[in-house]
Amino acid sequence: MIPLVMCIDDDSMVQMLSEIIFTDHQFCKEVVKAYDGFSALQYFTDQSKLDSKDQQIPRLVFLDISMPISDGWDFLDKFSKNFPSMQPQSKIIVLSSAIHPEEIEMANAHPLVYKYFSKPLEPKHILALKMDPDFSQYFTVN
Amino acid sequence: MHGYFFFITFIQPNCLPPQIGLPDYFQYMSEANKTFTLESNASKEAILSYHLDNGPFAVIEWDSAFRISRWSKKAELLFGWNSQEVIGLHYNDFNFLPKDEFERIKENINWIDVGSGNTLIIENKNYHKNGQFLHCRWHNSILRDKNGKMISIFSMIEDISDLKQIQENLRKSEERFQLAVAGSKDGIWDWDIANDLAYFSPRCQEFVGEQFDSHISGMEAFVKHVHPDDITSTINAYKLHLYERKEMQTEYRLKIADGSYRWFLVKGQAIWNKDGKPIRMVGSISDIHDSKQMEEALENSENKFNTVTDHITDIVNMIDRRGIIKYTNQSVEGILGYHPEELLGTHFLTLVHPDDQIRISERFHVQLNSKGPGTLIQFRLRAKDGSYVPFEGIGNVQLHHPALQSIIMISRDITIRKKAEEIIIASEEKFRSLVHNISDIITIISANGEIQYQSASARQIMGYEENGLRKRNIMEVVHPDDLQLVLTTFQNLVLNGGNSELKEFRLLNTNGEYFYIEAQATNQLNNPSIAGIVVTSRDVSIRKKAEAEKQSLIQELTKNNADLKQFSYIVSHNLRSPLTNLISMTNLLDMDTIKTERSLKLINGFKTTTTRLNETLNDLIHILLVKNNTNIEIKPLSFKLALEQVTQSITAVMENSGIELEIDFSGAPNVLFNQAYLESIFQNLITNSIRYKSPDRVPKVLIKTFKNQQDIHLVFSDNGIGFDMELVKDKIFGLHQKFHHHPESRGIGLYLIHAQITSLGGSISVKSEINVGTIFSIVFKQKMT
Repeated sequence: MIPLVMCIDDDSMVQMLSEIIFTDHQFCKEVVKAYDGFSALQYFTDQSKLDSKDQQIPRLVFLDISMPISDGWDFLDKFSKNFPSMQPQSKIIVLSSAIHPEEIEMANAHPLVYKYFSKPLEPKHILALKMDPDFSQYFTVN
Repeated sequence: MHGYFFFITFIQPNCLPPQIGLPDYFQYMSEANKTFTLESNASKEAILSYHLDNGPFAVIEWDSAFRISRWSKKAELLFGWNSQEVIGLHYNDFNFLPKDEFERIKENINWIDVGSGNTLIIENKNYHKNGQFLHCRWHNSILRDKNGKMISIFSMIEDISDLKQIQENLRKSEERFQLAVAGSKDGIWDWDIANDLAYFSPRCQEFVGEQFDSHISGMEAFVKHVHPDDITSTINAYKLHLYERKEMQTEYRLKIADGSYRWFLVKGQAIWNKDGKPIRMVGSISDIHDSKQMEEALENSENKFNTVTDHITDIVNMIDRRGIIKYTNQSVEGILGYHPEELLGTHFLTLVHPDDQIRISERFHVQLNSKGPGTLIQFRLRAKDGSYVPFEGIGNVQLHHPALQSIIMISRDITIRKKAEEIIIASEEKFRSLVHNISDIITIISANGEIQYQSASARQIMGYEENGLRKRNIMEVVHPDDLQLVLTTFQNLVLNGGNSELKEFRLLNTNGEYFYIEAQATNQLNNPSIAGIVVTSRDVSIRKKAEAEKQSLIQELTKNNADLKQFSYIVSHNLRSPLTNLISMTNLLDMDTIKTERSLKLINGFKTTTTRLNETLNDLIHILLVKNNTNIEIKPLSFKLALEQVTQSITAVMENSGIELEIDFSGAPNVLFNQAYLESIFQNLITNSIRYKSPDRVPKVLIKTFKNQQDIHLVFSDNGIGFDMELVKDKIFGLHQKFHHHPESRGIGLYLIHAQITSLGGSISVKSEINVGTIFSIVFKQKMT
């Protein structure tokens, strides 16, 4: 299982559903919830102040685009500027309900975006990630 | 027998041509007729022959086959052939008629054959036996029998060669005279002395400005225009010529059309009859005023000359044929600084500017061979101080004048005029450069539409070179559809003067395309330096195109907007019915039967989501209505009543929160607005303050209104948690912009009131500070447009 996954979404229902799916598929040990880009960045800031052995960096971040105050784009901008050291550790998946092809293209083109998933998050997404060479190390068959 | 017929016919008056000499002949024939009736038949022929031979005319008789049967002695004399030579001959048989007369003769013969007429007078050419041409008038009498058949033709021939010649000469001489009269600058007069009838040529009449009737005007009519002082000498000159045959050439002053007197030279020649009595006099008058005046001036004494010349500002020089200055007046000192005596004996060319010397020298030598005044010429003369002064001068060659024997040169200092000209040229250049550099096309058009001038800017806009359209009519390049408008405007301007403005009409450019211009025209026909319609035109094609583009864009946007609205309605309504079903289902779900915690969690989430969806949809429908409602009722409203309405509807929420309202509507108790909107504003702002109240203190709200100029302001402030202005910026009134993660926040309330306020011309702004509070300022526009 992935030790830590972060979910950034202003919709608590989305957070709840994601958590249920993670649990059902034994996807991660722990979930960090952030309700906008700003508080997500705050989490990384707090972690960066800790000793590296104490740091808890999510290996995977699910990021919504449309959020109040600080949206997904804002998060991507600031994350790429402020936390370069954490970028290789944290893969970002955009999880959005956007229907505009432009926005989907923009997300796919962003260097920090690992994948783009259309909402809702489904078991097939999780299964695919478990098969992904980047994450398969966390899912060794016992 | 035919002799009888002949005389009956012949003496009919209509056969007698009214030509010179015929009355005598008529008389003669009448007498012959009397004689004829008395004699026997045989002697009749003898007597007739005698008379015909001794009459004034040549007589030829032709038989019915046009063969000569009689050839009188006079005919022998006239044509040269004797009767033996020609009797029995057809007129073609000998060289009697020129070939070119044949056709005419044939026509006449046809007429004789067919017609019933008995006389025929023709003029034609004949040959003399020696080959000379003769002009003859033929009086032909046709003798017919009782049945009208031709028996013979009696021709009496009159030689009119001399008459013809005289007529021709007269015509030529008359023509020459008319030409001379018309072409002459002199007036011509012709006086019938016996009857005192005088003819005055148009030129004479022009001189005195009076029209003369040549049938009734006597010499007196003209002489009355002669100056009273010159009457006696004029009459004497006439008398000397008419009675003593002295040459008639005198000068007198005539009162001319404008009432002033001018000098004229009169010449005349009389014709006297054999008794020595003058019967006619022909002559001319010529205008010699200018030369007379010149002479008069010259004839004045030298003293007077000096007095005059010394007091005029012009420089007067007298130069001999070598160019040596013989005299100079005092003015030279004032203008050039030389004392007159200094210049005496010097060559005038030494004073002339080197650049002008060749030109002036050439002119001088040309003029030496002429007489009288030359033409104006410009040159520069060197002043004593070495500077050059511009002059304009005229030379008058009087080398043969006994008293003068020199060329008189009158020169005028034109420094001031030159300067003025330079200024004019400069200003003209300024105008030209202005015209060249402005983008407007300046066109000067004459009253008939012909282009007189067009500025260079026409090239950029129309493609024509400067003045490329000159002499063409402006109407040629106007679009046919605009022609009526342009023509009417132009004609009105020509007739009524003043200015006209023409907005948008099309002109043709050199590519054959029409482009839009806007023009301003001024009637300057009465301005002598312009004498035309001045048109300033400007290319408005780009503006015109932009307008058209804007128009089509607006149309497209309007259509898109309408489509989008329609789409929003359909979406909202189609979502509503399944949504209401979902709400009913969640309400009917029996939660007690759900046992697992996971299912319970999911169903609760399902309920919450459904409720939120319903609220969001309602908000969207609400916004659509505000955005689309064009028929909002505006009326004066009391802030107090509107607020009370709201506080009553949300009493429970307010009491729960413990919010305190402080109200001050004294500055502006009423507002012109829509009631539902005003209530919506209060409700949204109050619930906003409750929602974002600080957990640390009692929520307080201050609402205050006041008037500022035309508008009414409302300030709504609270002591809530506030937000970071930096983060929010201009997003706060946008759709679905939420700035808190408050469970009830839907991000739509502020957007809604913003839409409501701006839709009625007002505005809303916000200020906030974290943990201090938020202030909303609203302006209600009171002057509805």
